[in-house]
Order: sequence, then C-alpha cells, then structure tokens
Amino acid sequence: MSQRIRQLPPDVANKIAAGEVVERPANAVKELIENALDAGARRITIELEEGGKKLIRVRDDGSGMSAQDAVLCLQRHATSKIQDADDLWRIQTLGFRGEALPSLAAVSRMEITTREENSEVGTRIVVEAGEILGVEEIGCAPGTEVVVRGLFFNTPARFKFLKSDSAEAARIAEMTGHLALAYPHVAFVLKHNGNESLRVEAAGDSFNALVSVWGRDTARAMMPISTSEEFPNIKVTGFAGRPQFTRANRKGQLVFVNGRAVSSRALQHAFGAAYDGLIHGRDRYPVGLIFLQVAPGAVDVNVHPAKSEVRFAREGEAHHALRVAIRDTLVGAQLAPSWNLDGETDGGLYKPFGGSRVENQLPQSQFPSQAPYQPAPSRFNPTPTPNYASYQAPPSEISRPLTPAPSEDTNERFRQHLADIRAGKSGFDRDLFPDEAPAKLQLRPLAQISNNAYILCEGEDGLYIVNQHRAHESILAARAIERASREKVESQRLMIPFSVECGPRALAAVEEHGSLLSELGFEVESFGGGALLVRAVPTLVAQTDYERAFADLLDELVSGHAGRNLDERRRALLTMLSCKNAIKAGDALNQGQMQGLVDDLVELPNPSICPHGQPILIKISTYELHKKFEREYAMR
Amino acid sequence: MKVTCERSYLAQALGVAGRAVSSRNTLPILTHVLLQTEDDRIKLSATDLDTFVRCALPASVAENGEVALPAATLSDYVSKLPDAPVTLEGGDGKVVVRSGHSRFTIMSAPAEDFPVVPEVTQGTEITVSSATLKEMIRMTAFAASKEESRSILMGVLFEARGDTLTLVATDTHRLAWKQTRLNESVQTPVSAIVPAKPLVELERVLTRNAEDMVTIRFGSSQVQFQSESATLVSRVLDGQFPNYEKVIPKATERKVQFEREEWLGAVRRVDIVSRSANQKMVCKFGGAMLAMSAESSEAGQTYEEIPIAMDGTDLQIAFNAKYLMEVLGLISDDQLSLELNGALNPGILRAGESFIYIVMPMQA
Repeated sequence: MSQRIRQLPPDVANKIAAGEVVERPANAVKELIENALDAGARRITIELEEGGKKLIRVRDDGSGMSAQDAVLCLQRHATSKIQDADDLWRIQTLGFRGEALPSLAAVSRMEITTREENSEVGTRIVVEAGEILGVEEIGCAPGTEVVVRGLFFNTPARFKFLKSDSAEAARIAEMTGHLALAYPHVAFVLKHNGNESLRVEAAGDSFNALVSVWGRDTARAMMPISTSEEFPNIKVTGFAGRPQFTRANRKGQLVFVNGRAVSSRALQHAFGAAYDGLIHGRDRYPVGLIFLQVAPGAVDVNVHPAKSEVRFAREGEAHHALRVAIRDTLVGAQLAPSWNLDGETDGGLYKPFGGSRVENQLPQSQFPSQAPYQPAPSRFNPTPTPNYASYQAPPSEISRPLTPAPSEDTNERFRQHLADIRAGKSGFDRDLFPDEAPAKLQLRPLAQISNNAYILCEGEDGLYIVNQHRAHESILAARAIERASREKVESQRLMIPFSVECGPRALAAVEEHGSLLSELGFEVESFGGGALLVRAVPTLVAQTDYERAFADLLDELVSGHAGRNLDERRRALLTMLSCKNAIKAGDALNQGQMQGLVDDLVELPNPSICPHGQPILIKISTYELHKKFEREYAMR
Repeated sequence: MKVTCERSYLAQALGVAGRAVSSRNTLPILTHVLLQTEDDRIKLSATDLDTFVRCALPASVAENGEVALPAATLSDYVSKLPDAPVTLEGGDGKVVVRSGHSRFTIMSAPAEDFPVVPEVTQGTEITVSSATLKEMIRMTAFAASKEESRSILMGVLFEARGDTLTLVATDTHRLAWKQTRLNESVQTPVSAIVPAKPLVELERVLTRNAEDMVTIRFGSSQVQFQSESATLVSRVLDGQFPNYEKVIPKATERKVQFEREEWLGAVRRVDIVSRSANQKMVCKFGGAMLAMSAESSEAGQTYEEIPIAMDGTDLQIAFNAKYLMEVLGLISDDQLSLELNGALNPGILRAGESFIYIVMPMQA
C-alpha cells in the first residue's frame, strides 16, 4: 500500500500561506509599513520600481532589530507582538500573527538591513525564496530597511495575475495614503520609478494629512467629528463630509479601528444611517474618515489574515456610537435636524426668527423604533419576466396585504400546476419558463392610487400596478439612448475649464481610458499634482451638473466595471440624465396621459425593470385574485 | 388696526411685494404679506428668506397696527374689487376688508411671526437711473447659470470701480458683460454677486423712466436696491466669481460685421432643426457670406446664408444656436460685430462699447 498523504515541506507551505497574506505588491507594502509603524517609526520612505513588481524598498527610523531577532523574524509565527493566546485579546499593534515577513520572503528575493539604536553595528540578511543566503554585520543608520526584489518570481501563476505597473502603483499609493491618514504623526514619502507620488509630512494633525492625501477641495468639504455624547469603551474621531459632497460609491468612506483600516458592513451602515434624509439622489454615498478607538478587548482583529475585517464584541455599541457621533457633527454644523432618540418627535428644531416654529423639513428617521442595527437589505435582482414580480415580496406596501405566504395548499397548488401544464393552460407556467417570449402586455389604466404615485391598470390576465416615475424614467432613457445611437456625441467647450483633484487610482484609470473619455465628449488633460483639467464636456451634460457627471464617471472607471464598453457607459450617462426629467410620484395625470405612459411603457424591451434594476410594475394575476377570494374554479 | 386706502395703490403695491412671496410652502408665514401702518401710509413687506421686498402706499390711518395676511388671497380679492377706497380693519386673528358693499373677512397671522425685514444701513452706495439698471439686468441675468450645483454662477456680478458699474454673468458656456458710467465715482471699489432670481423680479418692477433713481447699497452679506416706491434686499452669494477678464481675448484674427435682424431670423430657423441635434449649428464664415446649417436625424436639415463683411481668413466653427438666438433677441443695436479666432476659441459679440457677449464654440 502506497503512502498518499504527505506532510508538505515548509517551503511549499510558506508559498501557500503567502497567497493569503500577500496577494499583490500593495499587500506586501502594507505589511512592511505596518511593521515599521509597530516599530515606532517617525518617518517611512517607500520606493517602488515597476509598480512594486521589480522592487519595493521600505525604510523606517524605528527601533530596529538585533541580529538574532532579525533571523528569527523570518520564521513563521515568530513575532515580538504577542506571547500567548490571551494576548490576542489585548492586541494594540498592527501586526501580531508573525506571518508577513516569512510569507513575503518565501515569494521574493529579500534583503533586510537593520540596526538597533544602542547597538554599534547593524545586520544585513539576504533571503531568496525563504532561504537565508547570508547574515553579515554592516554599518547602517538605526532603523530597518526591507528590500523586496522580484516579488512572485517563483510563483509565476500569481505574477501573471498582477495588473499593469501603473495600476499596481496606484493601489499602493492609495493604501499608503490611507495609512498616512491614520498616522498623522508619521511622515510618509512614496516614490515610484524615482518620482515622488505622495508626500505627507508629520504634522501630527489629521487635517494636514487629509489635505496631502485627498486634496484641498475634498478636505474643505470635511468637518471634524465632534460629539457631546460619551460612549463606554468607544471613542469616535475623524472627519465627516458635508451631505452635499457625495460620491457614487463607498470608496470615500474610510474606517480605522485602533489605527487599522477595516471594512465593516455594520460601520458602513451606521455611517450611512447618520446621513438619513440628507443625501439627495439614489446611489450617492457620503464621504468620511473615521477613527474608532476601542478597548483592545472589545474587538477581535484575528478574523482574517489580511486583518481587513474585525469583529466587535458588541457590534450594536459601535454602530450606535458612530451613528450618534456623526449625526451630532451634522447637527452641530446645522446641516441636519437632531434626532430625539427617546422616540418623541421634536418639531421646533431651530428658530431662525421671531420665535416661530419651523416644521421639520426633513423626513423623520424611523431609527429610534428600529433595532440598533439591521443589515442593509440585499438587492434582489428579478429576472426579466413581466409576470415574475408578484411572486417575490414586492417592495411596495400596498401589495403586502395582498400576497400572504402560501400555506397549507402548496402541494395542492403544485399538483394543480402540473395539471395545468399538461392541459396546456397558461396562467402560471410562464413564470416557470421565462425563455418563452412573453406576450406583449396590453394595459388599460384605471386610476392613480396612493397619492398619485402609482397607476392601476387592467391587463388581459390580471391587475397591474405601475410605478409612474420609474416607468417614465425608463421611457425617457430608452428614447435618449435610441436617439444617441443615431447621432454622434457632441461636445461643448467650457469658458472656464474645471479642475478635478483625484486620487492616484483615478489618474491611472484616466490614463488607461483616456480615449474613452474623449469619445464620450470630455476633453481632459493632466494638470499635474493629482489634478485633471476638463476643457470640454458632452452636450448631454453641459446644461446640468457636469462636474458631478464627470466625477461619477471617474468613480465608475476606478471601480473598473470590466467589460463596460463605450456604449454601455454612454447608456449609463444617458440614463442618469433622463431620470432628472421624469414625472415624479405625486404628479397628477389625466386619462390620456396615463394611457400614453403605459402605451409607451409596453413598447419597451423590458417594461418590468427600470434602468436601475428596480421593478416598474407589479402584477396581481387573475388567478391570484380568484385564489384570494377562494373561487373554486381557479383551481381547476 | 384700522386703515383706509385707494384700491389701485393697494393692488399695485401687492403686485410689487408679491414678487418676493415664497412659492415654497414649508413655512406658512412666508406665503403672507406683512402690513404695517405708519403715519399716513401702509408698509407692505414680503420675503422668501432670500429676498425681501418692501413698498409703501399712502393711506389714512385711524388706528395703528400690524398684521400678516395671506398674499395670494388678498391680492386676488383686491384685484377683483372696483376702484374705490378700501378699508382694512381687524385684530384677533382676522381682518375685515371692506369696499363699497363688499366685505371679506380674511384670516390673519400674528405680525410677530413674520421674519424681521433687514435694512442695509452701512456699505458703499451707488446711484443709477431705473432705466439703466433695468437694461443692465436684462442684458446680463439671462446668461447666469440655472444649475444649482454652480451656485456662484447663478448670480450676477456687480462691480463698481471708479466711475463705472459693470454687471457680468456666465454659465461657463457664455458670458454677458455690460457696463455703464456712474454720475459719481465710488471711493472704494466694490463687488458683489447678487442671485439672478431676485434681479429678474427687480427688473420687472423697475420703471423705464430715466428720471427715477435707484440707490444700490452693498452691505457685507446683503445688497439693497432702493427706488422711490420700493426696496428690495437680497442676500449676496458668498464666493469667488471667475476671473472674467481673463476670458475676454485681447486680440482677434477675424472681425465680422452683420445686421442683427438678418442673423437672428436665420438662427431662429436653424434652431428648429438644431434643437433636436444637441443645439449644434455649424457656421462657415467665408468671403462675404456666413452659411449656417444644422442636421438632425429627427427633424431634417436646414441651410441659411446671410451677407457679412469680414476681415480675415475663412473659418468653420460650431455654436449652440440657442446661445446666439437669446442674445440677438435682447440687443437693440442693428449693426453688430463678431470677433473670432480659431474653431475652438470663443466668439466675441460686441454691441457698442458697453456690451460684450462671449460664447464658447462646440466641437465642430
């Protein structure tokens, strides 16, 4: 009998582990910078060549290591940061697993030069693919320098998955910027191919770091977080963006827990909830730079090798603290009415003059009545069948009483359903076989319901409820796209070109997609210092908020919806614009207008889903109606 | 309160004050007009919190008082009364409006609820004739931006320097510049960005009479326009107006002279097609002709020619037809000149010495 299961040799095990911690140059740089920060560095210099693929050099002026420590640090799970398992609950350093250096050493040619301040000589260690080739004494400045050459030289599969030099460098720059924001008392210098791409001086003041990393314009739109509330175990500091200053994704929301950049759904939700009712427009997210200080015991950072996730002992507490602190900041800046968390609504919030009562102009949040934290509902993407909508829980309240959960007669219904199919009867089967081309809808509008928000229509096989705003939006978008496909993009020159300060990733994206931007009608040139200058904009957006349209486009380029071609981008742009002109919920329509709207709607290729992926119409089939009234023949 | 006045005066004053009455209804008091008696007149005030309008009319006051009345209802009623003296009398939540055999009891709101009407007492002061100011606003405010995101450009820049007053407005696609001489020069130069919306209201109220004078007083955060009959106070937009002088080219390669009416007519016809083609109008300046064309897959094609006098070489350039149509319709001069450089450089339209209009081309 042969032995088939073998213990892997250590070098293979290390290569596997390296994949978890070090996925790309940015992770490597992050681990090295975090080590430097844990070593108490005041100044960290990072040099890159070819996006970190050829060379990464991280130099700090921290405490340095002795010769023995330097050799030992290359062993897996060798660390100075914890000693026993209980220490995991007291972690105050960024690293603790003792994995980063050996993992990194296993997939590169590494050179560590280090000297402790009180020691006469320093140590240099040369490692290749995890194997120590030499240890020698050397004269050097106190601190540590780690040089990583040829990252992934022995794991070609991983090397192949790296992006272009500029994209990798951009990721590193972004990540370094984030750390610089979290450690304002440490100076950071980042150079790529000899050019300085980021410099943050150690001013000890987060705002200065903010200006250096995010640019002056963004920094101006940020308000320091200030709250009068005291939270047990948690301290919230940082900056919250003004509600007018939003972005199309959450990339502008950075959360640091005890100095560690983390992503946490709960905290994202808390941040967003604080802006409840203040953000205009769908899919817009406020910007924030948030530092949470929590007692080390209250948070578990040992969840993920890259430590980008944390688990709170009491998540609700963190959620509450963040939300209240941000809301207090907004209230303090007179940007939002205050919440009365005891549940009473306070109408006379602010009194601009004469002591008269000002009604609260913003929708009252229902937060007090809700559980402290509910995860954001996941978007259910319905399939493009017109009849499908009524079989999932529709988002509208009016349909809720109409569709109770099926109960005792499920089996009966299924049997009936099979019988229906055999008999060739339609009614239900179409929903199960969406490939079958749906018959064209024929709708006769009956009335507007729910304060002129929906149009109630009769169709051939049931009752339809049409969301009039979404219907019009879709019609306008379809028309605009149709017209744009026939005509070429026109571009209007600006008298006063506008400049956009953007991050390194956005710059890299513009470099990569420059021709796409000009095909869309934007004339963009680099302005130096991380800024772009826009000289001409498409006529589509010339009359509206073109700065924002451009910023949205950049955000989209950065988030890199791969495969999005020019046509799709144009379509997205057109959709965004046409939504502005659509009729709203609450607009009264006469019979002719309603008829016109539903007639145009049924002509669309997909009348049930709006461009944003939300349902336009909800159907209550005749079958369902009969069933609700327990008509016997419905079952036959 | 008890006061009697002439219906026509009251109707006219309500018309003026009504310009500032808020159309938003979040604050019910802003749909009201404040009536205050004073010696032998009634003062009316209205506001939407951005703009305040105050005017007065002669009246005989039997009993002093002040009250806020719903503006739309009151002015609707007064406009339908026959010309005769009107008496307003009331207190305690209602006011009785009497005229002849008509009587209307109207619900009132307490005057204390009405926002305090500000008065700009300090700041640089200039005086221009009502007719001049009206014309200056008319020629510039239309070019201000309508886009909320560019709040600074939703205003008109007032710049008083030496003995000139200049108004400038731009929406980043075009810019309108209008200048006038002041009778007295200002000691310290002053500039303020006034929202276009109240200016348009002011323009409607101003008379065409060159004898009527308007005093403009620039406060730190507000500007006050005061004529004999009415006062308008508007907030001033806070921010930096773009450096417009940089936009006006110093030298130009081509100068084109043309008849305003002729070009306006042609542009209006081209617009019928260009409005469905991103407003793009292609202009070919060559020899003694300007040829304009627009093409849309929806509406068809147009072609227009007008005679011009031109210095310089031929040029093809595209403009937004609407931007030209608007300005040509406002100017009253018959002979105009257009200066041009390259196809991607702005066109400069001049009417006399006092009006400049710069329009950015579209990519041809």
